[in-house]
Amino acid sequence: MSEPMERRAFLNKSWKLGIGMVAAAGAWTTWDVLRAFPDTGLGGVVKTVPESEVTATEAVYVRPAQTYLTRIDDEVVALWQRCPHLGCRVSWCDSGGEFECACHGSTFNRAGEVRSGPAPRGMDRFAVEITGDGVVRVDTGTISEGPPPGEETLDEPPRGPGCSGH
Amino acid sequence: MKAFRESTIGRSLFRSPDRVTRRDQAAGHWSNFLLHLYPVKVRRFELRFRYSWFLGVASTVLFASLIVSGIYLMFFYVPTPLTAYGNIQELQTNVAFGQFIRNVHRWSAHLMVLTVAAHMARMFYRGAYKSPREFNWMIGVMLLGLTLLLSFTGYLLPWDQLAYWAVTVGSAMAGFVPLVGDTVQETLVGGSQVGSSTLLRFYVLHIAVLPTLLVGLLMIHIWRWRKDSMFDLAASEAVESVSDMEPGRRVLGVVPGVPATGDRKDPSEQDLVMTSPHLLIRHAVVALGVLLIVLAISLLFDAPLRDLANPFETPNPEKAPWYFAALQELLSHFHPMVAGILVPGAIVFGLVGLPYFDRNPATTPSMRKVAVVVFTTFLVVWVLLTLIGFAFRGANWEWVWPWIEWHGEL
Repeated sequence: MSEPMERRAFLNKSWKLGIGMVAAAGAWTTWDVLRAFPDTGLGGVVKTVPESEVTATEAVYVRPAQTYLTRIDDEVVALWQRCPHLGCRVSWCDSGGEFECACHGSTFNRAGEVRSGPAPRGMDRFAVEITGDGVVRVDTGTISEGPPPGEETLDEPPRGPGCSGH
Repeated sequence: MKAFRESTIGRSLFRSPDRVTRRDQAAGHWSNFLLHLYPVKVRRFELRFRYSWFLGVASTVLFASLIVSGIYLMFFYVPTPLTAYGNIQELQTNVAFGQFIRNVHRWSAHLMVLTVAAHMARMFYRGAYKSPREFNWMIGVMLLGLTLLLSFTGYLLPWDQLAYWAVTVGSAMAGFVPLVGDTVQETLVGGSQVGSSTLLRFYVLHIAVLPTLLVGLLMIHIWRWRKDSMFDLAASEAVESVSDMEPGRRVLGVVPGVPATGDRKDPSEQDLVMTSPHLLIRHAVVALGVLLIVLAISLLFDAPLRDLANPFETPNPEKAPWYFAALQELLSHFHPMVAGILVPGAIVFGLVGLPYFDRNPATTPSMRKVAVVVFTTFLVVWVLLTLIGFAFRGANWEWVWPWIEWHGEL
C-alpha cells in the first residue's frame, strides 16, 4: 500500500531536483561566461624611465603604467594612480608635495600613505624591478595593497598649499 | 465603431459585440486583451486624484516613452569606446530630431526615477503595502531597483567624462561587499577598470536583460493590483448585499457613471463604477499630460554631453548620478563598508521587509504614528543628503552655495 506512494513521492522530488540542477548549471554557466578576463591595458610589465630620473622630492608620472614613480628610503616605488576609495585618478600636487584625489578629497603623502579623507587604505603599489642598464620596469600585474590609514611612516609634512585650494 | 463591431470581422475580433446593457459592457471589457490587466469595476473613490496621484500610471507611461525613444537611439549607436561618443555627436548634429529623441530618453529616465520613488512614498502613506498587498509592495521595491539599475547602466553609454567617472565611482562601491566584493566588481566592470568590456556589458544589460526583467515584473505588479482589488471587492460585495435593500441605487452592483458633482459627499466604500470608461479616461489624460511635460522639457533643455571619456583625467568635482548623490555624500564621511554597503543594505532590507515588520493593520496615519514618523524621517534625511550631494558640493567635495557656484549635473 505504501509502495506506490513512495514511488510517486520519489518522482515528485526528482523533477524538482532536476529543475534545481538545471538552474544551478545555468547560474554556474552564466557566472563562468561573464567572469572577468585578463585586461588588455594593465597587467603587463612596462619599461619606464631610467632609475636616475626618479628623485626623492617629486613623483614622476608614467602614463602607460598609470603609475607614479618616486623614491622612498632610496628605493624606487611605483604607486597606482587609482584611488583606493572609489577609483578616481589621484593626481600629484607639486606645491603641496602630496597626492590629492578630486572625488572625495582624500590626500596621501609622497609614499602613498593616507593623510586625510575617506580613503580606506593607502595607494596600491606595483612591483618594481631595475634592469641591468638602470631602467625601472613596473610589473602592473603584481599589486600590493596600501597600508591602513593612520600609519604614516614618511615624516614629510605638506610643504606648501595644496593644488585644489584646501 | 458600433457598425464595425457588429460586422463579420468585428464579431470575430470582439467576443461580445453588443453593448446594450451594463452586463454587455462588463463582458466586453472582460474579453478584451488590452484591458485584461484592468479590473472590470473599481471602487469610486479610487478614481480620485488623491487616492494614488496617478504616479504608477505616470511611471508606466514614462517607461513606454523610454522604450520608444530607446529603440530610435539603438539605430545610431555602436557600444565600443571608439565609436560610442562619436555616434552620439553624430546623432545630435546629423540626424533629424536626433538631439530631441536623446533629450526625450534622458529626461524620461530622470523623471521615471522620480515618479517611481514618489509612487512608493504615496503607497507607503496610504498603507497600501498591508494585507493583502504585501507581495505587490515587494515587487514594487524590485521595480524601483530595476529602474535605478537601468538608469545607471544607461548613464555610461554616451562614453563622455560624466559617464565614465560616474560609473567608475558607482561600480567601485560594489568592491566593498565583504568576501565577494572584488569578484562582483570585476564581473560587473569586466576587468580591473571601466573599459570596452564594461561598455558592452552595460549596453547588453541596458537594452536586453534589465528591460525584459522590468516588463515581466511590471506585468505581475499590475496583475496583482487587479487581483488584490478584486479581493477588496469581494469583501465589499458581502456588505453590499445588505444595502441592496435601498431601491433603485444599484443595478448588478454597478452604479451608473454619474459624475459626483454638486454635493461634495464622500463616495462610500461600496460604490462601484465601470473601469471603462471612468478609470481609463483618467489614465489617458494622465498619459497625455506626462507626455506633454516630457516633450516640453525636451524642447527646452538639451541632454548634456561632456568631453570624450579620458581615464587619465578625473573631472573635479566628480559626481555620481543625482539619485546616488545621497550615497556619495555618505561615502565622503564614512568608510565605504558603512556608507556603500551597510546603509544601502539596511535600506533595501527595510523596504522589502516593511509589510512583514509592520503588523499594524491600520491605514490612517494617526493610527500608525511610529511607521509614519520613521519613514518620514528617512525620506527627509535622504532628500536632504541628495540635495547636498547634488547641488552643495564643489571641487574636492567641499561645501559650495549653489547660487554662487553651480556643480549639479544631470
